[in-house]
Amino acid sequence: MNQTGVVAWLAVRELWISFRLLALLTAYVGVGAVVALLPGPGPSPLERLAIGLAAATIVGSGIAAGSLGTERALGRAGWLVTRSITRGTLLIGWFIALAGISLVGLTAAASLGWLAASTVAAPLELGPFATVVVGVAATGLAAVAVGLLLGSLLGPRRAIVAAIILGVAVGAAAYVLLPATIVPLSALAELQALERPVAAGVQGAGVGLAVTAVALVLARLALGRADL
Amino acid sequence: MRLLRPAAVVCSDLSRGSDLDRCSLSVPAGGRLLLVSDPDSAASTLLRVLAGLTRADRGRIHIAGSSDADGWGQRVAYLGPNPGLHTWMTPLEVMRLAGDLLELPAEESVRRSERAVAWARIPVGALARPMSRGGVALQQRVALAAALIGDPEVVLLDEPLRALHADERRRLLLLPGRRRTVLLASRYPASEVGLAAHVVFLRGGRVELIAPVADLEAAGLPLSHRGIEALAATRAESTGRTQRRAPRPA
Repeated sequence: MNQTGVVAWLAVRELWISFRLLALLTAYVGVGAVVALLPGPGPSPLERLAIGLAAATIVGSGIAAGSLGTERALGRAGWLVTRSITRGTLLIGWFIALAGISLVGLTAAASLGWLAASTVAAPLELGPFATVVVGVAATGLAAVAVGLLLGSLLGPRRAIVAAIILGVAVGAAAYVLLPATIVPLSALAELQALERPVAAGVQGAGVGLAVTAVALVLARLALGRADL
Repeated sequence: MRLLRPAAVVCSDLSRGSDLDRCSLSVPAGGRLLLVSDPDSAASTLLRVLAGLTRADRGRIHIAGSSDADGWGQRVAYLGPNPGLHTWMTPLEVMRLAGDLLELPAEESVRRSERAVAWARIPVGALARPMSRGGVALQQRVALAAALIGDPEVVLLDEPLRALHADERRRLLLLPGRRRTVLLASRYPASEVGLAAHVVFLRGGRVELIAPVADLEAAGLPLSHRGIEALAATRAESTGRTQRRAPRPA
């Protein structure tokens, strides 16, 4: 196993032991379960799924921020760095671990949500739905990357609080100010009203991946200057 | 005849916050230095900068023939006050991981692990149990064993092994190897008797004194913070007197 794999595997085990893996999976899968099992009055299943996934994305960002902040504060990041692990490898290893868990949870939540939406509303086409979910996944990756950026800059508690506040603020601003075609979670909520859902999903995925890349570059720069 | 030894650690003009201010130091290979500082945090900061854990604001570092921190893992080991280990891991897992990260061949890794574990006297019964059950003392022993598995040329020790009994700590810190360079930062120099050949005193972020430990004894001073400060003051005074006596250029 290469060094990135070693760090990612260590990160997964640390997340498992500390119950953060369970919390992240529960945040995503719980959303799908609630949407699927508790159909009720109010917003449509897709709207409820979008709101739930937005909350799970913020949880993911907070867990990412707290995890890297904790690794730095407890000297575990330093232990790895003094053993030939570069700071970049450390960052990418943690990103892979958190992104992987988020994607597993999102896949489960989306599957449950699709089943729920298909039984309640008119049959939901899988292609457009899956494309928009890919966009939501890219948003989740961006949230994890931003969380890691905050974890590179701040101590664990401050990083978690900052990630949650930033997530809520950015999410609310994006929902109010930006068109649904470039905000995947809005596109998911309004999927059946969109004229070109596939294009919206692809566009949202592109925006999400671009934000992920920028956040990771900034996190690498921040971690390069950080005390470990 | 006295042979000149190559420098294992060279740092010049290192600055970091208020702890280091254009600090320069050269340590020959095989040297064993006790770092004492005023304020106490300066010596720790110097070791953390040398280990690549804290970035210097300015200055140059050259350790074990390399100036790139990313390549130091093979030849430089750092052991701080906090072991920095995942306590859910067992000592065996830590040793295996340390060997893997240094890319040692499997057989060599096992051989070195066994040697390091024996040196650190990690109880056999604790090897396969999570370290959280063994307390901080066990974690510090494991951290030392993991640091030694790479047979590092330079060992940076920042207030290490404080959870162990003083005698056992001294035994462990007398690291084997004549060519091994050891820098030991301590806030309690009196507890480091016999561990270092030279003492370095940092004040105001710079090296104020480098002297053999024997000089303290010769001056009738104890190996303590106060004793080292007194020797530094004596040296500074005699240097000043020499400079005052020197004829000024016309």
